[in-house]
Amino acid sequence: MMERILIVDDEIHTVRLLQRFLTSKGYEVHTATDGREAIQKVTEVKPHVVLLDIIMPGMDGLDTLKEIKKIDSHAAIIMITAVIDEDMAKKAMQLGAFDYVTKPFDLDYVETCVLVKIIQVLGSDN
Amino acid sequence: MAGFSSPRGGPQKHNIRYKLVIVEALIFVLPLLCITYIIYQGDYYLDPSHLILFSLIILLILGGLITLRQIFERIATIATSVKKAEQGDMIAVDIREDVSELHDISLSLNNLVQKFEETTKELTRRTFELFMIKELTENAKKKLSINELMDVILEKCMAVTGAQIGSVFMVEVDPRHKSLVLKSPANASPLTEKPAFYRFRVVASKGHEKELERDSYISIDKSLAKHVFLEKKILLVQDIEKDQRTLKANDPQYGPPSFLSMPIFIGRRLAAVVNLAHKETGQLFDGNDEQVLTIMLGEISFALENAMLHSEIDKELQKSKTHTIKLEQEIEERKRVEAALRENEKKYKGLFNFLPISLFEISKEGYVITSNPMSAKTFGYTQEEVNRGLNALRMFVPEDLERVQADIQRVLNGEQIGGIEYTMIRKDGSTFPVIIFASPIIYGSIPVGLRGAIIDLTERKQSEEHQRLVNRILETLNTPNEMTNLIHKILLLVKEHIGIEAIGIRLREGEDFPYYETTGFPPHFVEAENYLCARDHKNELIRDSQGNPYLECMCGNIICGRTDSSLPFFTEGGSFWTNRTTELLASTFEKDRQARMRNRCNSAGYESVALIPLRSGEEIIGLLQLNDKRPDCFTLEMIQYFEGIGASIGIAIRRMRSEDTLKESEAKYRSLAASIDSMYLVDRDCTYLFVNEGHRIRFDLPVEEIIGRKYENFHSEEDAQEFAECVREVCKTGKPIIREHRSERDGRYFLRTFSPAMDRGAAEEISKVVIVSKDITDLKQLERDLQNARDQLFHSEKLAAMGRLSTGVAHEILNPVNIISMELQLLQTMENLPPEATEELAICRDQLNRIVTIAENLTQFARVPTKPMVKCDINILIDRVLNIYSSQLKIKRVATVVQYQSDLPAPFIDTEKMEQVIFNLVTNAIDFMEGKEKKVLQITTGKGSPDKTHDYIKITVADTGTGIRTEDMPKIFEPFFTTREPGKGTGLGLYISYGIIQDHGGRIRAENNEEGGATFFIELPVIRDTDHRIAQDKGVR
Repeated sequence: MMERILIVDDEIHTVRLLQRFLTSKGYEVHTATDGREAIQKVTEVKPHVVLLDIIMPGMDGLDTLKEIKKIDSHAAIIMITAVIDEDMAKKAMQLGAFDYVTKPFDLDYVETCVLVKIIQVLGSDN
Repeated sequence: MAGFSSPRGGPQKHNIRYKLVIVEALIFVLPLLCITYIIYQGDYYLDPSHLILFSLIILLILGGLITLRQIFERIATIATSVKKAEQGDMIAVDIREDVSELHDISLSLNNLVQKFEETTKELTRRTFELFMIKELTENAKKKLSINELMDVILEKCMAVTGAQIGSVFMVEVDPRHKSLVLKSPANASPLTEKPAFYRFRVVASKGHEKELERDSYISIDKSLAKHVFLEKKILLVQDIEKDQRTLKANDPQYGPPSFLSMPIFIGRRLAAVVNLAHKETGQLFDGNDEQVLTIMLGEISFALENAMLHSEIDKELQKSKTHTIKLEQEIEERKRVEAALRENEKKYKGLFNFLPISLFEISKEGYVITSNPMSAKTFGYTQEEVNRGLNALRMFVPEDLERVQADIQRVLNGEQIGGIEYTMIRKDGSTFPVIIFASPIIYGSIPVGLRGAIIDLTERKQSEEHQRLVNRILETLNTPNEMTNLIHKILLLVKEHIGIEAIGIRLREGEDFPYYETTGFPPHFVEAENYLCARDHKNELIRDSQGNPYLECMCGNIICGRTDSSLPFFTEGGSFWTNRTTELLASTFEKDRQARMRNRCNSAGYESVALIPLRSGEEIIGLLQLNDKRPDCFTLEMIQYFEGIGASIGIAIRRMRSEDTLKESEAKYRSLAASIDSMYLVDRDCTYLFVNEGHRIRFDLPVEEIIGRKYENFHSEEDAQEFAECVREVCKTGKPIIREHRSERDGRYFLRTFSPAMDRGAAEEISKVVIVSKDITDLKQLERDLQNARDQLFHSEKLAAMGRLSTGVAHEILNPVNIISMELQLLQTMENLPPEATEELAICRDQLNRIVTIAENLTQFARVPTKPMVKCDINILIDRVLNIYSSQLKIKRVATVVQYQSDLPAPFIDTEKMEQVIFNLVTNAIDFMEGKEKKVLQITTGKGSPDKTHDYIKITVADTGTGIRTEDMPKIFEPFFTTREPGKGTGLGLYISYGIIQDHGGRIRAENNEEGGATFFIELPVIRDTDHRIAQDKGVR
């Protein structure tokens, strides 16, 4: 079974590049460009990990986070945030986010982060 | 007898012998003959005893004769022998021996006699000395005064030694060294034995040409007796000029050069020295004198000690005498005080009984123990009722009771409470306001009750009430107001205050005095009573002899001043008042009432009526009318009180009526006066012709000292030149000119208008100039302040706007940067890349990181503090930053000087942010000192100057770097401003620091210092706890 990752960001290039990178690392990657789409995708694909941008037009990352938690409490959510908005990321942690990564990404760090969560999730499944 | 028969001496010998026999016979026979004669002549009966006596005499005579004969025989023998010896007779030798023996005997006899004589003399002397000693000791026993004793000692010493000059010195501690000497143990210490610490006091002196003054002092060092002092031994000097100890020319007044100084000891202490000189015999002093004196002085030492003790005792006695006198005085004084107290007590008792204040003593439970007659009177009780026992608590109104009990407890607990107001009840049930002062009655040390005074406040309350009304009326009068409005307000005030039913004010209108305002009167009454002027049947005004209109009724009387204060219903102040109009009308006559009465007041049912004139100076300009249907509404005091108010109202009304015109002219005058601060007139040569008062004051000189002198006499050359130019120009052109001028005297700014002064006579040429000078310093200052404020506002607004902008920009930048960054990272992971490309990609990533740093910094400025503010010791915070920097400072060889003020108040700060500020400043300092020889970083903390709301703490960071260029100074806090090489700095450090300090409500500024480096000053407010909470709330929102 491939580990499923959902990437949510309004910036299409960010989504594309993350998808390319994570796919190359062997994950099953799904994408969404706003909060609504993200919730729909969560219901559909039940991702193990969600990479979720905080600042998005319409439904923002924090609201989306709350909704996702309602649908699937097992999903590990890693917030994506600009370096200058760390405070918001910390707030998201209080709301149940697993971790956060800052823009600009260090891709190696992103992978480590995802990997750690996956191992945890799988570990608990077993 | 053989010797007598010598042939050569035969006849001579016979002669002598013969004569001897005759003498013998005569000696023997003559008494016999005498006795015989006496017996026969005197018829004496010879009793055996007489016979025995005679026989004895005869025998004695016989014996004597025999002895005589023997001696004679012997002499005769010797004489014969001598004769023989001349002939060489051997026998002579023996006789010669006899003779020489005889000579020896005679010589030794002589010697003996001489010796005997000497011994007798010596004996006499010793006897004398002994006698002296005895006398001295006896005397000494009697004498208790040291001085007398010393006199005697000296006298006796002189007598014994035969000295003609003598003195006695006492040894005393010099008071200047008293403490030193007395502090040291005993008198043994060599230090304290220094002659300088002591002195001689002359206590006796005899035989000097000029007597030494008693009680005068002689320095020990200067006296010959110092040897006695030093050695504690007798000083016997034979020749003052040769003795090693003295070596001093002899003063002829002292006779022979010999003298003797004797120490007098008391115990082991040297008490005095006796000096003796000039023996009457001209002899020198010898061991003998020394010996006698030693014995003598030894004998009297005890007496001396006694005398010393005595003098001590005497002194003490004197002291205690003074003390006793003082005590007696004190006792006397106390007696007087007691008497005064008794007197006072009597007085107070009198006061207690007669004071018009209620005085009381009550028990803890409130029972009245004592009270003065006034208390009983005030509360309406008889003395018997009081004596029977009352509880004071029942005399308070129930609503005060709880407070009263609490207050009693407070007083009993010793709390100092001032007068407290309560409401109390009289026996008849009526209540009245009081103020009570009380203190605890302490018995032993336990409070057993209260004592105090009750002051009836009824009158005071009333007068307070009245005063309040006056104040309010005056207040109303003095508020700018419409006249009608004002009068109306006053009427309402009075009505409210005294509760009178109807009040009206009449004021002059033309020749009549209609009601200006009324309240409480029915309309028909006002209408009917409005006008006072009497009219005849043709409705024409009735006038008096002077042509004044006749004003009717009592109101007319008051307004016209037709009052008679001898009548009970008129007052001296010219008012009318009655409490019962019906009675008044019935009991008085028309004549008394001064005018025709309309009686409308009475017929309208008003029993109490008062009419009070409103005066403005002497003139009556209206009246105040008070009407009430109830009788007994007024008292004389009330009327008099309203008269006072009437005067105030009158004056106010008069003032208001003329106020408008006054106001106008005053305003004109004021503006004129204000516009001319200084005015002066000069001629073409700038000579003062006139100065106004305002200008004279600026000179602070009398007018005479200014007029006739020139402008240049009072001002600098430069100033005078400028002034002269202006004057010339005005004279030339005839047009006024305005110049701003800064006074050299006090630095104030003036706006000077130079105007030509037109001479009516000579119009073609201007010879005088008027200068009006206006002080515009404050205006200038205001302008400057305004400009500063505007600049500051602009600056901070600009920065704030930049902050907002930069946050937006940063966000927008970061997204594309993120994408580029990811692209780069993915590119880097690609295989088969040429090595150059890998390198270039790394550079790209580095540069992207720079962008990120800038964006990060940019946003920090605009962020509100999200960390909770905490109280923080700024010194510790700075230390923390310097710690982080310590190694870098060492590497860069920067010396750090830190001066902390230790007792600084702790401000509420976001420590991380504040650290960043210090960090930025220190970084800058280090960077800008690079390459400098002297590298000193100085950080100081201290208290800043407080303003109205806050205290401030001050942090100063100074370096010895390159400093800030003047043209850069305004820009250093702007974002992206940097003097570093491109790539070395973002130009955001100070910008961010500025933002942080502003967020904390503080200030930051920079200056160049004397070392050529830059100094940054930070001031942070010390916010109070409550303020801090508010600030924090805002922060969270």
